[in-house]
Amino acid sequence: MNFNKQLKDGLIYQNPVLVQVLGMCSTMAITTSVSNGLGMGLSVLVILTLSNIFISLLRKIIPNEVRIACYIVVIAGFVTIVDLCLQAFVPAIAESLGVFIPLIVVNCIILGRAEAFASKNSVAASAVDGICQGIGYTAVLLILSAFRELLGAGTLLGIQIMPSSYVPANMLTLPVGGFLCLGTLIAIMQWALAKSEKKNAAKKETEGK
Amino acid sequence: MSVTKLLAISLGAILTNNFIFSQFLGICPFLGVSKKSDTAIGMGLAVTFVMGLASAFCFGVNKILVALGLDYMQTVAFILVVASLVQFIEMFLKKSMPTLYTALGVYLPLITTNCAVLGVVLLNVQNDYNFIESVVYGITGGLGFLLAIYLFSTVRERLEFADYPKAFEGFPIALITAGLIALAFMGFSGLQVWPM
Amino acid sequence: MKIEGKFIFKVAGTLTAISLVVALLLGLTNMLTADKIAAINKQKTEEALAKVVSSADCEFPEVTDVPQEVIDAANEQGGKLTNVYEILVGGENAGYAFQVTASGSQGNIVMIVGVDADLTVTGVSIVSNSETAGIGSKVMDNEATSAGTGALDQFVGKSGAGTLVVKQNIDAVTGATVSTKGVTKGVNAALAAAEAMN
Repeated sequence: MNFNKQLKDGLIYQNPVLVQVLGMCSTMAITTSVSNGLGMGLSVLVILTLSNIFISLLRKIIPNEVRIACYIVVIAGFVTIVDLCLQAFVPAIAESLGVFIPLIVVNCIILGRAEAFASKNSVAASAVDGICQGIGYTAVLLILSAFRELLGAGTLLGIQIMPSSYVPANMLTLPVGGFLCLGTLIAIMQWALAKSEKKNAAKKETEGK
Repeated sequence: MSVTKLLAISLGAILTNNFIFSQFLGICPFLGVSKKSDTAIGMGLAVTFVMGLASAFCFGVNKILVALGLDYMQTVAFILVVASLVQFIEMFLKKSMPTLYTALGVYLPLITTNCAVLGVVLLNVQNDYNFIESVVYGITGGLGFLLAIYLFSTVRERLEFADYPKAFEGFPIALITAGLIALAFMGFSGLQVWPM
Repeated sequence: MKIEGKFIFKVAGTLTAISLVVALLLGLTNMLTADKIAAINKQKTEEALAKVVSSADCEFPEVTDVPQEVIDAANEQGGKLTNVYEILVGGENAGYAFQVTASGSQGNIVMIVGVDADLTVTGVSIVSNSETAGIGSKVMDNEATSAGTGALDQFVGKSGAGTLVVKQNIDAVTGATVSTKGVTKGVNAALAAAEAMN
């Protein structure tokens, strides 16, 4: 369990949205405003960590044949708990996230991490993995939603930032904006990763000589 | 419940409020299976089937949960219904349509995590549809998904030979293309033949 | 493939055990949060009720026995009637407030429509909606229509169930016609219900 490495993985090298390309439905639908993005990102972080811990705890008991069904039940349970808490304590966020809160159950990220990591690693490592992947996811949501809200509505967290003469590009808050922004962000990430790989390969070559 | 409402729901699900291009439900399999047209159609049909059946079963399950005052168990119950349905369909396809089974491969069990399936069930509850309306919404939602995934696969087949910056290879260019189709579908938003 | 009874027991048993534990946790959370959620919903409704009537000193006791023909009248106009509240100003009946649900552009719009004894609208306020942020939400926030009046304010003083039509006597917010139509449906339904109440 190496926190630094896992954090770097979660944010960059194994970023759930930009590299593993998981959890796209919610990423594009939710990022119309920063408050939505923050609310969703934190909810997923909490659920991911809790479910990783639970599934890691139970990994020796769950029979292989029904493991997916068991993971789903555990995840669904935590999603409902978070849903009820959101409705009770932050109803405005719960209302704007709408149907996408229960849809966290089928967010490929959570099921994917349960299958790929939590079922094979210790509780502590799984918890850290959940937190790091959750941070990576939230970071992407924040970047996307900040961009879309600022240029699409002229506000950030509801506060008017752009001068009143700025005519907001409403298209960015619509589905088409979601697709375009996410596609561009993934392209930027792919370009950055390819560039750093080339740099590393060139470094190794000069060292090997 | 009237025929016009059913027609309005269908038109909405396929064109004006398309599950992929307006509601963002079902993106993962949409991007994952749309490389070839025939796999896309197979997946679309399978998803339509699951969505229709899931709507039917979950309507009943929801009635029981509400009667027992267990509303909060909806998410858990619905996803279990969907997971079991997909399991049965997998076994059925393996026996009777093995070619489709192998073509869909790992994407078949992934229908369980298809946001569109759980999404349509949750939307049925949210919109308070009765049984017929729920099933119609489920099936037409699936047809909308089928239309989207088929359209997209034909475009992607041509994309293979197109010239674009290397950084956009793979998902980025697919997403941008999907965005442009979404923009086109926005043109349907004023379409209201039948009042809802 | 021979399946042993012990195997099935282990598999089904684990799944059932996990499901039970999850269900227990959920039941516990529900117990802790249900009251708070109910209180929040009640507060939202009360705020919406206060907005539809301009005079102070109002009470809104709920009408518990709503006649079926009132619900049917609302249904015919495309609005589902969920609650009826009597408007009492200074203890005297001054009309009714109807909680109606109509379909908007992105799902249902739940609204409260106040109708006075002369069957004219006193006010429209939104309880909950899921309209598109920046577009349909403009109608929900009572922003100005193409004619200059607030999208919800324009209903005040209107009467005649079923006569309100967008682009004829109701103005839409530019780009949010479907959301405006949804609110219009709800108001028509409330007016129809008010007629049937008498």
